Amino acid sequence: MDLMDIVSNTLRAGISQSAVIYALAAIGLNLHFGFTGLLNFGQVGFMAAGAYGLGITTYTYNWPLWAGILAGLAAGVVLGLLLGAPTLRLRADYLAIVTIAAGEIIRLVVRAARLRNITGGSNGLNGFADSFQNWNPLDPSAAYGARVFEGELNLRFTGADLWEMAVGWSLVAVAVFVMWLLVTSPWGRVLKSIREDEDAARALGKNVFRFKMQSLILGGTFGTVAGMYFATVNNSVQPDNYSTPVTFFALTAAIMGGLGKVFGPVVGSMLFWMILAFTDNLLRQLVSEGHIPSSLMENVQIGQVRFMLVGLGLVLLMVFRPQGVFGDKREIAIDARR
Amino acid sequence: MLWAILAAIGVGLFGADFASAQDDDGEGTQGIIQYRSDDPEQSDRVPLEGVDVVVYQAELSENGREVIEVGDEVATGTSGADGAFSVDVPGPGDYAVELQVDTLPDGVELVDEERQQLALRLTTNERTNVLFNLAEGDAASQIRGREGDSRLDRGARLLVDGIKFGLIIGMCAIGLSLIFGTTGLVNFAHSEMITFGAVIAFFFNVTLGLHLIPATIIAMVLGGLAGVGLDLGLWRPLRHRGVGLVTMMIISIGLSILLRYAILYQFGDRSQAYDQYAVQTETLFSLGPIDMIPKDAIIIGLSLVLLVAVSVALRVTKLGKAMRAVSDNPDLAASTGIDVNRIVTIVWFLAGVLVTLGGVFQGLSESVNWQNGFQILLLVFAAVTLGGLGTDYGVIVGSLVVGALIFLSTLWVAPELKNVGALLVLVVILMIRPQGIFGRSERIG
Repeated sequence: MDLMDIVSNTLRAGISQSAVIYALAAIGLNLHFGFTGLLNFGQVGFMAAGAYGLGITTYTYNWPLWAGILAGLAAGVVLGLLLGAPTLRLRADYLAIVTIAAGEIIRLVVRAARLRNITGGSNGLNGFADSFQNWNPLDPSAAYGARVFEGELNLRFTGADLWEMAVGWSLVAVAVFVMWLLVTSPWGRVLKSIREDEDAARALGKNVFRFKMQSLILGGTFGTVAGMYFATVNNSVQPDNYSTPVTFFALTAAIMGGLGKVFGPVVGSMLFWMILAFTDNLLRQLVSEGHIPSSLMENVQIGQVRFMLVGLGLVLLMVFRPQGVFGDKREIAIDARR
Repeated sequence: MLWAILAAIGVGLFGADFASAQDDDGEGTQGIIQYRSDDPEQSDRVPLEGVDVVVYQAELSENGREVIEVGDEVATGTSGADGAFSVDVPGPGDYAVELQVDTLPDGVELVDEERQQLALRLTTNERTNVLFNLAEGDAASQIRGREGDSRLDRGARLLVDGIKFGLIIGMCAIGLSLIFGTTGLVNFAHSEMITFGAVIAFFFNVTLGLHLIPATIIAMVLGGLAGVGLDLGLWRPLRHRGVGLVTMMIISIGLSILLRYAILYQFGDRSQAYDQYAVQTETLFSLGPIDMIPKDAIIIGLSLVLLVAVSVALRVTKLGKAMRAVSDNPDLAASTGIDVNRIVTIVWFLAGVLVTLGGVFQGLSESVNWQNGFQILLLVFAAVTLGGLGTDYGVIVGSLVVGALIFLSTLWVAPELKNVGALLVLVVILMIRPQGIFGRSERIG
């Protein structure tokens, strides 16, 4: 049983590119759900809009990367307008179903064989973000970092990983700072008032629809950035990476950290991936060393157990601690509007 | 789905046979090359020797039933004296099996030339049969004539498929709608109740060797009990704690993830067929261009009867009226002496029973898979929303419309996009008439 191996893999997962992607997506969900009370279950649609906006323009139409990023952002804004204009007047659970359906429609359309020339169909688009790696000041294949605790704890990363993580966590830092500016501004206070009591906000002369739309688009933009980062570090866009459960996992991360808190989603996402990595590594060692008989669990089933734990975790969180790690129970007014 | 149904309807002749045998011989495919003779006396099909098949790496559609693009050649095979061939492939994955038409004897041809390549999706150690539909010249044109490629005929057949699919959705949707009506819960874990039903029936049918009909009945009882268990163990305590509806909805998402992967853990990721009725070739009756096979007739008939019966019972019986009263206003219902908790538990039982049968029907018309319920959940939502959340007869109409729309849309759009139309309808309905066709507007907040 190699305990330090489990610990180092867990730590690495907490700062991995996946943690960045889910942190960014969850920051957006936090603005929607934690601050405005909007139940957007189609965050993955915004991620797909960003990823495909970037991928299609740079790969299919050979735009430079920076122009592709602008196109991805624009795609997210357009999606927000399309989605928000008709749905923001709906009740929370109806909005949830519409946004889920929208995310699924996007995935089905981009993977269609007929659009293969543009979106790459079910193969997706590959190899459009080479220039991102070319900007890497480090040697992509060299190892950086150190083994600490007499070499027991492996904290060495390749230059490519380090570059991606540095860019990613910088994006998260910027996103957190923007969120902090937003929610402490008068604008953010209006959002909270909409979350607490939409009619009261309306009675005070606030154009609730406009504020909700702004929140949807801004939060969606964080999702768009998450999608573009996802596409860039993988150097590919695959349609089936943008399926409905991604939103639910990001939502789990946001709730775990604490809705309605600026840092909640970031901590939540790190925790989410650390828990996944910890259980994965632990089970893998237990199975390979025969502590868990293979009749009970085989290697392929370990990944499935992880997801069972995610589901169970979400249930337990919502039942016993809906405010997550940081949240304030009084602020979790997600049921203010029935 | 489409291919499974087309295979059943096109006299069961063309399309892949999804029955698969599990052993440790590695992955592969096999089949018998045989054709239908012109000779009317010869009812059995004639095996062909020396016909070549080639297996390619391939990209398949999402459901693994249509070939989208063919890649490198990986293996070849030739049929023996009994027409049988068997090909091993290098590993699990997606393949296309192609019949080499130039090795066919003169006069024998593919009934459907577009079915020269068949899709093959293999998991570890899976060997799947494929079936090429061959016939001698006159017989081929006769079959083609019967299949009548006129748009109207195709439309008629698709409509029947759509009605069948719609009724399956309806069986799943009515429980969701009743639960929403009585408790306000938008239950995302409903999809796993669908899958649970199909898988439990599979366990009794295939693992324990029971006939499918008693297996289904046992599964329906267990499905109902599972519904009761969920209500008593989870949802009722939450309701009593005053947990809000949005919180409960998110809890149901967590539950859905937990149950889905628990089913995957137990059942595996392979699509499997029930022991009985999986492949039916004989037709029960023909009506114009429509050849109805017995299991489709049973699915359509039984679903329709049950859905109408539930709808009538809600109107006529005392229990049904009590359910509607609780849907309307739980507090008022309680004050008239209705035991709301008891009614809700009965609703969960009823929902569990119906959704199990829906799940078995879906498993029967396609195959049993751990994602069966998850794949149709949004369509079930679409049906419920279209008809009006919490209205029973609306759900039946909504389901039929969604089912018919999905299948008829394949007349114009690629089959892989057929669900998009239904999802768009869901979005549009929620925008312009969120209470659905039959819902009353005051239900909407």
